[in-house]
Parts: sequence; C-alpha cells; structure tokens
Amino acid sequence: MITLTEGAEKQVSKLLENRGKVSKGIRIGVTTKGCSGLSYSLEFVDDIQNSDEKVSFRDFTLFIDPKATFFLIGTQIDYVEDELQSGFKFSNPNEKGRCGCGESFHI
Amino acid sequence: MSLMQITEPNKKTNHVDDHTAIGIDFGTTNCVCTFFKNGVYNIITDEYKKKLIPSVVAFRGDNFFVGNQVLLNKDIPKENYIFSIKRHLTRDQSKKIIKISNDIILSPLEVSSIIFEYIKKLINEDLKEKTNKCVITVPAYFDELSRVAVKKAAINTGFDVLRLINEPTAAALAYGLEKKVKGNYFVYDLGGGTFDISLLKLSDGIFKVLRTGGNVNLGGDDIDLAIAKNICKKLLNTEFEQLTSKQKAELIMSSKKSKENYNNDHSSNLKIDFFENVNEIQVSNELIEESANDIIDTTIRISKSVLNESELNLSKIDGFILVGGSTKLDYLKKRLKESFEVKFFSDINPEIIVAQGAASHAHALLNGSENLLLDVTPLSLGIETAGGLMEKIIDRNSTIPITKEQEFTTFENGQTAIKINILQGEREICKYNRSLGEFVLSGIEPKPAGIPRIKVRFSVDSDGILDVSAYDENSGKKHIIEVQPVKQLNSNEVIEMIKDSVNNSKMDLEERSVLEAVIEGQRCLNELNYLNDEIITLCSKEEQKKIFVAIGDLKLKIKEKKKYEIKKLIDKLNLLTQNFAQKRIENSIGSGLVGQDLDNL
Amino acid sequence: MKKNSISCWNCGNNVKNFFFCEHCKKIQKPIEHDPFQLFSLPYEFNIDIEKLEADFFNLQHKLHPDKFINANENEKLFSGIHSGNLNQSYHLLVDPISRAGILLKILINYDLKEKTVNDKILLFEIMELEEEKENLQQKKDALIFYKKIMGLIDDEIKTINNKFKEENYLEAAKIHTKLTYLKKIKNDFKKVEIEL
Repeated sequence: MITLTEGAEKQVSKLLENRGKVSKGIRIGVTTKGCSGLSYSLEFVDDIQNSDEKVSFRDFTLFIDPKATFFLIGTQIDYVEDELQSGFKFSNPNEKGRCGCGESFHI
Repeated sequence: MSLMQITEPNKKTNHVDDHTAIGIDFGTTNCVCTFFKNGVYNIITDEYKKKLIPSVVAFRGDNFFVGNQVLLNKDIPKENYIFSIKRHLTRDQSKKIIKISNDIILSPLEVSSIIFEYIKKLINEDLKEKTNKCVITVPAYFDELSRVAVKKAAINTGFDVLRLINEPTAAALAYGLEKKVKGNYFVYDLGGGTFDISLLKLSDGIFKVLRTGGNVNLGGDDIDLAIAKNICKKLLNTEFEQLTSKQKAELIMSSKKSKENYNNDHSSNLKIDFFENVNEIQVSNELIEESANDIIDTTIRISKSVLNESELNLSKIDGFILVGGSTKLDYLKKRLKESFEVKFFSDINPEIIVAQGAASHAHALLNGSENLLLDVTPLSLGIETAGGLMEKIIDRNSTIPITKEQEFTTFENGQTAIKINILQGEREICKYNRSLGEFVLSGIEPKPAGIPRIKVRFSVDSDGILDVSAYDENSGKKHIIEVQPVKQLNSNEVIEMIKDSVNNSKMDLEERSVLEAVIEGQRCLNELNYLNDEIITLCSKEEQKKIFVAIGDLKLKIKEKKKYEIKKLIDKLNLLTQNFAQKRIENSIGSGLVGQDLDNL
Repeated sequence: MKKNSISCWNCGNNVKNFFFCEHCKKIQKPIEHDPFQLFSLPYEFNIDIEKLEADFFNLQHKLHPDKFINANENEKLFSGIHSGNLNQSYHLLVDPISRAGILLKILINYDLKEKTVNDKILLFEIMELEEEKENLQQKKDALIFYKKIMGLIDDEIKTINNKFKEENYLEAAKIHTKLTYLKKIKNDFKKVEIEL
C-alpha cells in the first residue's frame, strides 16, 4: 500500500541510527494543518499503538496511523536532496490538489 | 514543494491556538497564579474569590486545609498553622521535621507539594482547560538545593515545570514589558521571607541581569517578629520567648496587622484577648519603625554592595522597582529614598507583579516571543582540591546557561580514583561553603602524580540547576552525576557565606597560601620518592647526601607548616637535582638508542 | 577541507554555518572554537563593544534554551551548549584583560597560568601597590587609591592596544601580566571598600 524508494529507505535507516536512542520505527500520520486542510507528519516511534498499520522494511518498521491509511494508499515516498534542501517527498496518486505552501493537500 | 523531515514524537506541529501556561509565584506568605491569554493577564482566584492564596497549611484529623480555607476557618487553632514553609525549603528539604500528629510527620517538600496540589485544583477549576505547564518563580538568591526542591515539589503534583525564573527578574520582565522602560534598574524584592536585589539592564525586549544579591532568610515576617518582640518588651513587660506557642502565633498575627495599619495612622490599637489582664494596647509608629530598622538596614547594606561590585555608580541607575508585599510599608520607602537618590517605582501592584512576569514568560516559552531573558547564578560553584581549598569553577553572577571545564590531576603516584566534592559559596576554605554532593571518579590509569588529566565539567542550566560530570581524558571514562544533598546546612549560612567571605578574605588568603605551600612541598616529596631508585643509581654519594638531607628538612617544615621555609627548600631541591635531571634525560635517550638501526630512527 | 565535511544530524546534508543547518534550519551540534571565531571577529585587540553586544543578543535570541522549549532533546542539548558558549565568550571578550589573554594564547600560545613571573621590577611595583592598599584607613583615601588603580589600568590598556597593533606580542604579554595583577588589586579593593 505504500512504497519507499531505495534512497528513502537508506535515509530512514541512517536517521534512526543517528537519533541517539533506540526507536521502534517511524510513523506516518495525518494532521490538520496548512491552507488545504490536511498534512502528513513523520515521527520517530517510542510507543507502539496497536491500532497502527505496520509495514516492515529491511532495517525498520513503518507504522501508519489508521486515520492516514486512506490517504496514503499507493503513495510513494522518496528522499530528495539538492543544493537548497533535502527531505522526504510524498507522491500521492489520490491527491487532487496541493496547496500553494506545499504543506497540505486535499482529496 | 516542501519536503518532510522526521520529527520527535508528540511534538506539536500546529500552532493555531495559544497554549496556556501558568505563572506561579510560590511565595513565603502568599502564592499568586496568573496566566496570559489574548493579550491580558488573568489571576486565578480561590473559592473565596481572593487573588492572594496564603501559603498556609493546616490539619484537622485526617483532613488538610490550604490558604484561605485555613485563615477563614475559625475552628482551626492558630497553633496548628504551618506557615512560611518556603523558608524550610532552603534546608532540610526532605527531612521529616513537621509533626502533624503522632502518625503524620511531613518534610518541607511534602508540605510544599500540598500547596501545589491545591493550586493545581484551583487552576483546573478556573481555567476550564487542562494545562499542567507552568513557570515557577524562586528567590534569586536561592541556592542549588532549594531550586531542586521547589521543582520537585511541583513535579510531584503533576506540574510540567517549563522553567524556574528568579523573582526579581520576573518582576523586571513584567514591569519592562508594560511600561516599556529602558536602562539600568534595581529590583528590590522584599517578600514575606526572602530578600532579593537584582540589577538589570533593560533594552528593547532584552532583560539582562547584571548582578544579584540577597538573603534567603530575611523578609516581612522578620519585621512582624521584631514588632512582636518589642511589644512584649515595651508594652507587656514580658519576654517573647516565655509566651506559649498559641500566644506567640496570636501576637505575630496582631503585629502584622499593626504593620499594615502603619501607613494610615500614627498609632494603632490592637485587641489582645489572649494575654492575661490586657485587652487592648496601643502600638505607636515609632515602635514599628524601630522594629523594622534592623531589617531595612541589612537590605540597604546588601543593595549597596551589589552596586559597589557592579561597574556602575548610582548616577547610571535609572530607578528602583519595588516588589514584594513588604515594600508596601511607607517607612521602608522613606528609608530607601534617603539612602539612594534615584526614582522609585511601585506603580504595578508589588504583590502580583512577580506572578505577572512568570505568566508572560510562560506564554513566551510556549508560543514564542521577541523577548530575551538572561539571568545569572547567585553563588559561586566549585570543587574541593587537595588541602581543603575551594577551586571556583563558575563565579557568581555568571550569565546562565553556562558550562565550564576545569582540569584536575592526581596528587599521589599511582592514584586511581579521585573524590570530587562539589561546593557552593564564596569562601576560599571548603568547610565554610555548602557542600552540594560528592562523587568518585574511579578507574584512572595508575600514573605518576600530576600526569592524569581529569576534566570536570560544570553546567548550570537556564533554571539555575547544576549538572556535574567528570571524565579522564586519557581513558575517556565518564561519570555523570546528579547533585544530591549530603550534608544539610543551616540556611542562614547561605547568606553568612558572602558576608563571611568579605570579612575573612584576608585570613583565607593567608591560610590559602600556607596550604598551597604545603601542597607544593608534598608534591615535590612525592616526585622525589618516585625517583628514589634512580637518584641512588645516577647521583654521586655526595649529591645523594645533600638531596636526602634536604628532603628530611622539607618533611619537617611541611609538618610545621612553615610557608617560607617550605618554598626555600623546594627551590634548593630543584637546584640539587638539576644535575640528576640532566643525567636522567641523557640516560633515557641513551637506553632508547641502544640496539636501534639508524634507519629506524 | 575538514570543516566542510560536517553533516547535519537531522537531514544529513553538509553544513557550513556554525549554528544552523542551511537546509533543514535545525540547530547544529556545537563544534570547538575560540571566542573570536564564535563572533566572526578577526584576531585583533581593538573590538567594537557595541557591535559585539548587539551580535551577542542577536545570537542569544536564536539560540537560548527558552526558544527550544518545544524542541526535541537533541536540539535542547545543543541550544544549552551554544547559549552557554555565547555567554562565556561574550564576557571574556568584553573584558579587555581577558580578551588580551585569549589573543596571546591564540597568537603566540602564551598562557600566563603556565608561567612563573620573574620580572623583578613589575613584582616590586605590584608589591608597593598591595602595601598601599593594605594601609588604607579612610574612605577618602580609598577613593583616591581606586582612581589611581583605574587610571593605571586604562593607561596599560592603551599601551597593550598599541603593542598588538605593532604585532609586538612579547611586549603585549608583559603588559598583560601587569594588567592581571592590577585587576586583582582592583577586585580585592572592592571587598575592602565594603568593609570601610
């Protein structure tokens, strides 16, 4: 239901390693924010919530907030790095529009 | 598009609404809780709609009462009141010293927690919004252990303490923000039980404390007590000490009332129904002035020494901001005006200004702000070094946060552990300062004395709380310790420390120079002892004899603590061993060269 | 260059800025530096104190732990260290005597703490001043003495400034030693004055 590019997977592993404490994995959530209503959030996981969807990768587990699964089906996460910025990029086939600030989307 | 970063869990990402955090002025006599929302200050009131919550706790059976529940309840006998608990937080924080009944004995920390518990209940009822986030104010002159105690008492009741800030700094913040003043200001804060004086530089949104001084055991309560004692002596012809505890409590309450009446009348009539044959006495203003003089004199002396130590003179001071309930006494203002010819400001209620500052800082912390608050640490911090001397690592009046490292070494050959005693105070000799805790750094590789390099790192955070760690630079061994009270000191000694350090600085210097000579001598002996065998192999009989005679002399003079002789003998030994040192170097190069190919060199 | 190979703890990109990552804007792990580097100042004795203060406040505005209450543990830790470094460096630079000491350490690796002073003329001069201080009896004399010490300090600071300009560091070191003594007399004197 969700895919990570090789670069994204590598970067997540690296960040987990550098975090300075043992993590259970990372979690994708959706929060209400931004000018288009909804926004992704990416967090380290310390406490597992049983209702979360789990997707296993080679080095870590990805948890997905059940509220977010609906929006995330088919999403690909990539890690991009250029001279100006770096971070995770979500490409979502379900998205109908993106807001100007790039922070949020609606379906 | 914007890219996502992975963040720590629970981090709030939306900031649409202001988050509410409470400013709590946890005073010796009264507590005030304020929050800042939509641009205005709101004071939390208790069930009697009162803004000042008396810091009083009382027990009846298994029930406890707090604040006005106690004072407005005639059924609770006055001798059961526990008041001024904050004073006890400066010593014996966790010792069970407050006896409630045969079954219940509490520590000052626990009694403080009861007050915080009550405050928390009031906040939840008043605010209709759940928040446990707060900023608590403490006297600027509070030492390390007292700060930790206040924080603990609040955390124990479920508060999330965002920051501890100093009371005068909070007052300056509230005053500066509201009146938009700039310049150098003294904040003179005389509360019920503590006195602080801070010198601040205020400029656009910047509040920088330059210096601070005070006494954690001096306040309006002492004026009340002095009035009560004078009433006994002059009007009742008796000794205060001979009264029963009930009479004492009643008389102190009456004295407080007479002090509050001072501003209105030339004298006040006090009803005294607890003393045999006396119904009413007349307390004159002169008696109140006379009783207050000692305390006021002390505060003036402390204020002058803070000014003296700063690089500023009175003409560079823009004014005094008066804070604390006790500054409402007109006589005190009159005395201050006589001593300092500058402007005085008390146009924000001195009883709530501290809580206002705390509330606006709490709001700034949670929601961001353009203001910057830079405070200082009130007392020097350091460690005990060989011979019982205090090595200061962080000087008092250093801006916090601050981290400093100092290198220490071993004193004996082959020493593998060092005990580090952490001290707070201004005196040169350890035993006169307060010990905050001790820890042992073990596992140092055995080396000759003076070779290992032990780094001790002192960090004072923005709450004024200390963290000490030490590591061996060679082995990388690291110890992080939490400073815990080991020795309980009478808190009066906290103020005595500075006073003493002034009076005794000369004596200390002399004592110190003797101790240093002894240490130097001992180090010299240790070194020679370590090289004993080599001296015998490398030196001529005649040289050996001279060296060993001098060593004998040095041992004797160290015992006698003769500073000058010790120094002379060290110089003599240095001279006598010069030849030996030369030989030793040649020898070691020689033995290093033997059997080596030229190519390998 | 080694300095350029530092990567951000958060996004992994290379960081050139001292305090914040240019990419993800996160506060960075503090690296070793001297007070001059921290404030991007050249190794010169004469500095603009007003500008230094303004820079100090500006940086504290961004780095003080009060600005990181909602941040993660890493950021809180870094902010505490950066802010502490700023406090310490600022106060070391503001005082001309400690500033001179740092410069000498950086420029010619001269550390007064590791030296024994054997300049007899200087020691004699200092001893005389100490004696004068010990014998102060009246407040009026104390004030005159204090002004004298302050005057001496001001003169020597002017001289040391010139020596630094001429790059005569050994001479500057000598004056720095004298200034250190004078400062100690000044500080001790403050204690004496409280007693008088």
